[in-house]
Amino acid sequence: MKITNFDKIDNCVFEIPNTYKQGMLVPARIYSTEELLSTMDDAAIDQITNVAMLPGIQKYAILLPDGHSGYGFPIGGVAAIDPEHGVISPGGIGFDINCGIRLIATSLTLDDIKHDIKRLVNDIYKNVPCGVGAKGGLSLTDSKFDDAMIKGAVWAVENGYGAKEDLEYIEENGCMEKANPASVSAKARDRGRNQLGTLGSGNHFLEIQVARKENIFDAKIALQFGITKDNQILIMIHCGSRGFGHQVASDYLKRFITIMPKYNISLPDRELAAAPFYSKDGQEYFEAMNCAINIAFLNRQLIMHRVFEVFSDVFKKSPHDLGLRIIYDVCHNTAKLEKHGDYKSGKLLLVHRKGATHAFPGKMQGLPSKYRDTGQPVIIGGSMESGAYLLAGSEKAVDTFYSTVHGSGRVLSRTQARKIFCGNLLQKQLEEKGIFIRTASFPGLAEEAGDAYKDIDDVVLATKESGLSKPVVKLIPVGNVKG
Amino acid sequence: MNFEILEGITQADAAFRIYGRDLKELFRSGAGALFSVMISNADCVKRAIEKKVELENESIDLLLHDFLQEIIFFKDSESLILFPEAIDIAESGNTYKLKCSFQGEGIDVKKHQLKIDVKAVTFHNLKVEKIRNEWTGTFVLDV
Repeated sequence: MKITNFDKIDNCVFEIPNTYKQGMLVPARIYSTEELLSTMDDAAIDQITNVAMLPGIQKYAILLPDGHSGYGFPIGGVAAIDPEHGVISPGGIGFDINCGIRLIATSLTLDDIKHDIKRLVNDIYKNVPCGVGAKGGLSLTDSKFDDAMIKGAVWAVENGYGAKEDLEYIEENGCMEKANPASVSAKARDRGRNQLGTLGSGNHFLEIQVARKENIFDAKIALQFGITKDNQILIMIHCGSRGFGHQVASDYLKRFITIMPKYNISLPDRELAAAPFYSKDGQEYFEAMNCAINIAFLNRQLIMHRVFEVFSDVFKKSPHDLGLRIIYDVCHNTAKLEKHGDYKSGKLLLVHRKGATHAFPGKMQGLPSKYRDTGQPVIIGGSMESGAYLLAGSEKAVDTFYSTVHGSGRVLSRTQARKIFCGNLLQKQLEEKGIFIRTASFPGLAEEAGDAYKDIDDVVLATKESGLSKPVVKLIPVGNVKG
Repeated sequence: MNFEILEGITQADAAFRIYGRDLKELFRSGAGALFSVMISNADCVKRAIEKKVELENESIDLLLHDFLQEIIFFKDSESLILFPEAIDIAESGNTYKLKCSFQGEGIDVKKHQLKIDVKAVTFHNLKVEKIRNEWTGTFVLDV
């Protein structure tokens, strides 16, 4: 887009004043370099200025460096809302509630796995169901499913999928409070029941990555995060709450569209439909959304368990002996009540993050003790060919309610990408570059080509320059499973 | 079936404009657009299983939304690919009533060339209108 109507607040912060559009309650702030801003589509700017109209929004409607248009909210959008006088908006969380990313360390190096990469990827592809219509191996009775909605990753650990130590390294310890299965519809249960432990499709992936010494930008923090040797192998899992969360969002969006007049709420896009947070409608959505957040935590825990089984089988060692350990698991699509100390002496705010990551600096409550001096690990997924990043939370992110980027952000639509790239050819080209890929869908693979996304190095540079997070290490893919 | 992909509305997802001489044809076009995202060889899906659905809504665009959501629901809950075979839409007072017989079969990855999972039909740019003698609609799918 052409840069007009922006006030440059800082080197990487641009503001659109609330006079830009009738109904904006606060300005919109875009965190980006000028170069990246020029690649953002006009629809993303239109959407973030609509977000600025949500009742109760505080300070700014925020668009992060990986921002691009979605529906209602843009991807990379953040809105902090005063829960006492404001709303909760399911569109500000998205359909894939708690789509998130988990990074796992190993004690293996590239030399240890180089002859087994194809076997690892093939075995993971076989053991972790992915693609359209895939069913997981776990089908729960109603009461056990309710229990899983309440406990999330804790349920998984109690039932033999993972270790108690895992929980410390998952956002919210893998379990959101105020999850009430009574607020979840029968349809959401039916859509989600058979999909536990499945990866999905689209931009969801499971990747084997290598941390090369020359790609480590902060050796001290990398060491504290568990990256201890050159060419160390890591595993990244990106997926969410599957059909369960999608249906929860659909159910409540539909309900909120019909009840908004009752609350005198009027917004320019039905996808922004909202209800007062402390109304019956708002609370029931919050309870159902928390169930979906927990189901996504459970999903990533089940998938990790299957990946550990594959690694144990290939290397004939236990997960413990292979050094398999969660570095961190972060959510991308949530609304959480958080105390923001800088804002009016520690007021609770309902922070909506859609395609955005929670990124706390060190010494904040809720972080594992191991990360108190480093800040929270921030995991940025890239395209399957560009690599991914591990960053650390920074105090400067206070202005974004401790939110930062979640991925690269698209520059091409899915249709444009399919016209330019061929999935089969891309798979061969990437194998020649040392990235072995298995996919459930070649058209889907074409849509996820590296050039369909912003350059992740540019996104991370903008993140660093704007002070949102500190780069720690770039991770290079060597194997990838795409849904 | 008559639909086209719309660019410039969303980069992450899939936007469509659909057409029909009447509402039944419009809804069938909507299903065609939805399946174009999910499967390459829709012609290979046998009509072996039937599911009957009845829906009603005061708004015709929300009825289109609910109709397409049913297809997504069967895909996730029972791993079925179901096409609308017989559609009946009637206007009664302030309400549109839809009856549809969906037919299809269970997803078989060896037989069906599956593409991308559709998460939801969004309410963004959701619109149904009659222009002269033709019905047209737009919608965005979350993929």
